[in-house]
Amino acid sequence: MDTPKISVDLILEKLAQEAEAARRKAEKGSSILLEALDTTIAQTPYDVVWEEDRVRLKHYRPVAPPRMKTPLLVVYALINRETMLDLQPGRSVVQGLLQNGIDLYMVDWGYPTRKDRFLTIDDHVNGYMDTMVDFIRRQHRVPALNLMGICMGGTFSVIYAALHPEKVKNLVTTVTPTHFDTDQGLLHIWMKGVDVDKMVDTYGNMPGDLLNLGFLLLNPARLMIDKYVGFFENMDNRAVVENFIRMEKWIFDSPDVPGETFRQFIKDGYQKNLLIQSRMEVGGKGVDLKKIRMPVLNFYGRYDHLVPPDACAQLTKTVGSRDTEDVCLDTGHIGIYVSSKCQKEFVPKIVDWLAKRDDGKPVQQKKTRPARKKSRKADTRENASPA
Amino acid sequence: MIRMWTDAASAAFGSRGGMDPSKKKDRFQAALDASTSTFFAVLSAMGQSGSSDALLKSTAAFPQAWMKMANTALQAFSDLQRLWVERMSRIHASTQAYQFENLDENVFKIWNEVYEKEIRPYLRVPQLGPARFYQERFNETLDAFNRFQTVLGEFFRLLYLPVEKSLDILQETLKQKAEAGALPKTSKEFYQEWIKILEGHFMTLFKSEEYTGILKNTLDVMEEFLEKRKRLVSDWARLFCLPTQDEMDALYKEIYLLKKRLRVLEKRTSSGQR
Repeated sequence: MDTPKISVDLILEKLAQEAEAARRKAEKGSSILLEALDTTIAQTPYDVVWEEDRVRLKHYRPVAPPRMKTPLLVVYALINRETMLDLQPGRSVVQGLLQNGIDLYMVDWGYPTRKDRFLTIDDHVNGYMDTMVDFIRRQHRVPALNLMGICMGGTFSVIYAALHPEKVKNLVTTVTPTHFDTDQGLLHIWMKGVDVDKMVDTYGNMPGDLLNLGFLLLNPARLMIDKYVGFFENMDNRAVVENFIRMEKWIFDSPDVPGETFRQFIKDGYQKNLLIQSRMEVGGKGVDLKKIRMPVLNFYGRYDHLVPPDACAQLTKTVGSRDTEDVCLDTGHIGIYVSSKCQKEFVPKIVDWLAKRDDGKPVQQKKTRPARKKSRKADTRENASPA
Repeated sequence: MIRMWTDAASAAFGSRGGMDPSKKKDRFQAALDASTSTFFAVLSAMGQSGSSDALLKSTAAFPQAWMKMANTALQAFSDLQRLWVERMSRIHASTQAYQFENLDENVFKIWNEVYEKEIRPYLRVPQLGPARFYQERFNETLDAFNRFQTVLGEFFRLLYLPVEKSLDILQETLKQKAEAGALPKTSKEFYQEWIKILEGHFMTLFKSEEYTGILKNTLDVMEEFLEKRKRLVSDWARLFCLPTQDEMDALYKEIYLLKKRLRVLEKRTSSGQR
């Protein structure tokens, strides 16, 4: 008798074993889900030192002696929340920077409401950001600070650095879109055809949930199926479950984006690609990238499907600075900040780069009372979603 | 006999009419009196000689008149029915243009055409009377909602296509592997194979012009529906003396502009102080 090509009995036996393993996993997983889990995010203590309208400036409490004179201000995107930089102890960019002696400030854009729909990029950059920068400069008695932007916050930081170059000592951009006319990312393709006027006129603010749906549709096979299959495969592992839920908390914590800001960002960025050509206008002034003469460190992810390398890499070739550096990491849009591998490269690189460009010892900070003290737990929104 | 009855009735109602005229009659009483006198007049006329004969003749003619009325009503109904049948046959005709062999692909186009041509006109019938604007806005919202549902259905069908195609290709791949004696040994391997194919199909779809067009159309139609809904909600808000969204937006804009001017003034003042 011939040996069959496929050992059906073996396959069936394997499937039976898998079914039994899945049953055991589901049993253990359900008991883990029913227990109290630690899924708190953004646990690093900070003080709110300035606030206006919905916007707050967080100052993280130092955990190590200051290593440089110039403080660092991190500007997050208006899409999702800055809690992504502090997901959990051991997987936190915030903690990494603090442990390396960086005096760290971070913008919390808050949750825009309907009344914020008329706020433009000018209001965010020349209004809130400029006021915060001035506040920090006064606090530290420095003429300029280090500015680090993330994604859309990076675009804001680039605009700010071009409009107020005297106030920025070093500029760090991470996954920052500046060149929008690319076909590398689906977002860039889709946004070209969108009637953004109609959208903003209808919604007022751009609903975070709608944006989230759009992001999920960029790769539904991975983001809507595979991700949850992976979760069920590991649901008997408590640590994995906790991390997964932390990420879910962050990713679906999506504030609305102020309508007029969204309108300009899409029109001037995705549809007209004005920024990289130094043709964008903010607050009636032209944003000339040649005015960015401070050192620029530019990070991006090789597999970033939201802001592809092509959208980021042209910045360093366009700015007026001669001291520029591109760092392309083998990861995606979020991996730069949360993957264990990138944690080892990302923070140390920033710290070393900034330290080399810092001139002098830190000065005693001006003593002021924080606008509001925050406890560790106070900022943990149970219903929060991603930044 | 009729005269007897009218006399009796007249006596009975007469006692009511004999109430003190100086008393002010209320509106109900006045209406009752007017009806009563009309009734008496009719009864009196019927009691006159010759009226009974005429009445009898009329009674004989009644079935004939009824038949006429019924015929007219029936004719109107059958005309209406004929119109509906014609409309339905037009629906059939419009569906034929798309061939039902490819029902999956064409069903949304067919339904859209049927809706646009045959159903939508009913929602666009001009409304009458003082509430016409409200009714019109309601109809417009309903119309926008129906269109949104149709377009959303088409969008979801498009999203489902890669799933369908990936399963077909998976089957084909497995067949080939089975023939080569290299079938995946675990369910995870099956799954990995499928998810890879699925991802590829989604990417192809998302880059296609068809998808971009339908995505844009879906967003447009959804926004139209939300606009219409907002107007409808505004009607209700006004009814309950609540500010509408547009009114609030105007207020927000005023506050925004005032704050902006205030900031400029603050900056000028502080720079002047320095």
